[in-house]
Order: sequence, then C-alpha cells, then structure tokens
Amino acid sequence: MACTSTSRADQATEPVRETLWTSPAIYSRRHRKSASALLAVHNQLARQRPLGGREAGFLELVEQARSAPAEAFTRVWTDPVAYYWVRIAYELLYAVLNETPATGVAAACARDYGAADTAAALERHLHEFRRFALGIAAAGGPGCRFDEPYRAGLPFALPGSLLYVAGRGEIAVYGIDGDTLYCRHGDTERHLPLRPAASADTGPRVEQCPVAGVDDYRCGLNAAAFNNLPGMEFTAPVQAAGPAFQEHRVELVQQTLQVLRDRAPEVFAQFADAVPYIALKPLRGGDYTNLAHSELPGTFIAAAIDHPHEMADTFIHEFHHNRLFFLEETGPFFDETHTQALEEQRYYSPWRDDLRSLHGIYHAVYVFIPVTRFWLRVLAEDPPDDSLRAYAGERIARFLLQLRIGIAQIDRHAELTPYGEALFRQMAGDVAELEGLARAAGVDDRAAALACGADGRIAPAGASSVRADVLEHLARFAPRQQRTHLESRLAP
Amino acid sequence: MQHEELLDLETLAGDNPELATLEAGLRHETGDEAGHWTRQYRASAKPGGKTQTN
Repeated sequence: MACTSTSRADQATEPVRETLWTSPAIYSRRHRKSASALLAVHNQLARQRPLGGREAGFLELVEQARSAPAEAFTRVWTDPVAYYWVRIAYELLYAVLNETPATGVAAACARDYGAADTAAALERHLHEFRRFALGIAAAGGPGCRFDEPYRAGLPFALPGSLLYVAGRGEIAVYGIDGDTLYCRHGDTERHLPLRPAASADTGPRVEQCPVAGVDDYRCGLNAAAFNNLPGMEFTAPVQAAGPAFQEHRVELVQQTLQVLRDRAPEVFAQFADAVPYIALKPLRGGDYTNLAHSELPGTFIAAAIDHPHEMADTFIHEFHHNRLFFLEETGPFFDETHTQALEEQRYYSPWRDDLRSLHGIYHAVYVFIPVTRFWLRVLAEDPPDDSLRAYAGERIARFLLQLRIGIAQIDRHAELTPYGEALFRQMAGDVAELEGLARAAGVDDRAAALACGADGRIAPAGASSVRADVLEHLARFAPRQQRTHLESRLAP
Repeated sequence: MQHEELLDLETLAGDNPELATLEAGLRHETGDEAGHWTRQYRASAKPGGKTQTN
C-alpha cells in the first residue's frame, strides 16, 4: 500500500528517549495525517468519480466538515474510530482505483458489509462517514440532515463525545438539529435530546458512558464506541458484558488511574493526550485478555482484575502498544528486504506459547520496559502489603529476564531501519538501566513465581522460582536453534 | 486532548505535501515506496494468565 507520513524533521532534534517515551508531538502528527487522508480520499473521489456519482453524498458531507469549526472537527477526528474509518476508506479506494483486492482490515470490513465487490464495499463505507457528520453536529458544528437515514446498531456512540444512543436493535438516524437527534426505531419516530436521559425509558435514549476521573483527566468506559466496527472481530466480549459491566467498575478504574498518576506520572500525563476512552471486559471473555489494535489508536480493551496495581500494569502495557502505533506512523521499524518482520511467525517469544513475528517481539520489548519501571517504583515505595511487595519483585525479575530474551531475538534476527534501530538501541539502554536499578533494589529472580487472579488475589504460580519458570517456558516453546543461544543469554 | 493542535481542514487542504503524497499513493503513482502507514497489528494478550501476555 502506498502512502506516506509527515517529515521526521520535527523529530530530528528531539532526543530519542523523548521520542520513544514522552514526546506528545507524535499524537498530533498522526491526527494531522488522518485528516489529510480524509482530504485525499475526498479529492480523488471528486476527481475520478469511481462510483459513478454514488460518492456525491459523502463529498457533500466532507465539504460541510470543512466549514465546521475546527474545534468540533478536531474533537471528532481525534476519536480513535476516525482513524479506523479513514484507514479503511483509503485502502478500499486504493483497491478500487488500482483494481487490486482489498487486504487486511479493509478486506474484513468489506466481508462484514456483505458487499458484492470492492466498489460496493467502498460505497457502503462512505455511508458510514455520516456518523462523523453527526459527531461534528453534536460537538457544536452545523446541524446535519440526511435524505437517506444512517442505520446503526445500538448502542451507537457519537464520535468525539462520550455520548451514545442506548437501547436494543437498530436505529435509522435522520440527522441532528440543535440539541436533538432525529431518528426512527422500528415504526416509531424519536426526537432524542443530546443529553443523558433522566427517565427510565427503555427505548432508544441518549446516555453518557461511565467516566472515571483523576485530576483533570476523564476516561470514558465507552463500550458503545466498540460497537458498529465492521472488520474488527474482537469487540464481541465488550458488547456481551453489557453497559452495567463498565458502570460497576468505575471505582476500580479510578483507583487504577490514581496508581498511574502516583507511580507512572509520565504515562498518566499522556493518557490525557491520547486516550479519550477505553472499555473493560471479563477476564475470560473472548479469545484474548487485553487488546490494543493499530486501527484504533488511542484506546484499548482491558480485562477487569480486581487489583488496581495489576490494572495499572495492564493500562501501561496497552497504552504503550498505542504509543508505538503512533511512533510507527512516522516510519517503518524493519527493513523487510530479506525478512518479513510482520508475517513470519517463527520466533520464540518469552511472553507467548506460540511463535511470534519480530514485529510482535519488538512491540513486547517496548511495552514491558515502562511496565517494569512501574513495578520498580512500586517496590521503591516499600508497600506495607507483603503480597504486593512480593508481587512487584516477582514482576520485575520476570520481565527483566523476558526482556533480555526479547532483545536478544531482535538483535540476532531483525534487520532494522535506521529509525527502528535508533529506537531499539534506546530500548536496550533502558533495559540495562532497569537491570541496574533492580540489582540495587535487591530483586532476585530466585523468588517464588506468582500470579494475580481475576479476584485480585496474588498466589504462587506453579514453578519454584521466576528464573525456573522463564527457563522452563524457553525449554518448552523455543525452537532448538533459538533455544541454545537464548539460554546462554540468561546466564546469571 | 491536552496538547492537541486544532485540525483545520481548510488549512490542510492548502499547501500540504503530505496530502499530495497521500493522493499520489492512492493513484499508485509513486509506488509502494511512497510512504508508510502503521502496520496493521492486533496486540493481544492470550488467555492463560498475565504471565502469558503479548
């Protein structure tokens, strides 16, 4: 797929450490790019008319967005779902213009639309832009009225806000005028005020998702935002859990954010820049525990575990997958002339039972560095809770051994671009620094292996020690030719 | 968003090299080396406990 990123000139003078961990510039850079991508899609559709005029409604809505107040457009276009939409629109249009098959999430999206061909999928996807026109209107932009209604499954989230239309089934939205959303539900016409409903009405109604706040930061627990996302197959556990699941865990998220603020302030500060909302799910819901997706930058799904420190670990972890998505928008990490760093799933990862791509291991190394730093800070506070102190030591010891393996795998097998290499060298330096801090703190990898259950209870986990556990995993899951090399890297 | 600069579509529609490259990419005029999107990637922890993450 041909596309580009902004110049890296504005990064040239920035220390790699800041680029990697703290610089907020990467967020606005990616949002600018996704707004430019919207214009690129608009311009090429306007010039080439590949849908024979059926793109007219979309073109008109983009023209309206251009005249909307920048504040309203910005609120909507920094919603994670805007990137999802524009990326798929770009890929589908590319496929139509160049008569090539759609790939990746765009292909999955086309399948979910039930479209007969790529052009039909593009047409259907352009209709989906109406949700953003509604979001702009709700954010204070000009009202909008559709000749053909926008059909959405409930719950339906209004992009750029924490509001959603609650209820069951589907609604047909005709537009927004002032502070009223006009829609039809079944045979009934509805005029819904754009504010949380006070009544016990069980029909379609506007609600605000639960919100957890610490200091000036407000984090929506926005399950509705993960609905109506064709091509994204992983959202079912969030919807299945229902809105009450989020509501009942506001306090847990609040406590988690407080832990973040106190033990990972540089990460907490970035949540305000990059994470407008998240969603929780039950630990055993779906085929995954936690998830961040490149097409939804700025949000994630976290399994609820009744332990704020464990949740903070998850938040830091998933947040950094997101940060790396933003960093990757600037340029590729891997030189894929000789290897397929994303596709070839043949490398041992200490974090998984299945073999992984080098790209996946690169991600893992990146996210476990700040998580380890977090647990070091928890340990440094000398928590009075014995189990928390033991668990912090366990996490540090385990993650440092795993990081040593991850770095060895990238070092040995990856061909990195200069950009990917600069970031990776900084990561390796950070790990060395963390190892020094862990030694000074008396962290010992002969400590008992522990795990945190869904109920927040910390208990022994199988093997006798962290080191034995990590070595056992290596012996069990690493291909022989990788294992020997990695065992030598784990020498005490 | 705390540090978010305003996205002004009118301004971005003007002299914007990134827009030009994105359009060229759509027309496949500049080849696959024209630029880069984030690689599509689902980073997910698997069931089996938090020792089996990523």
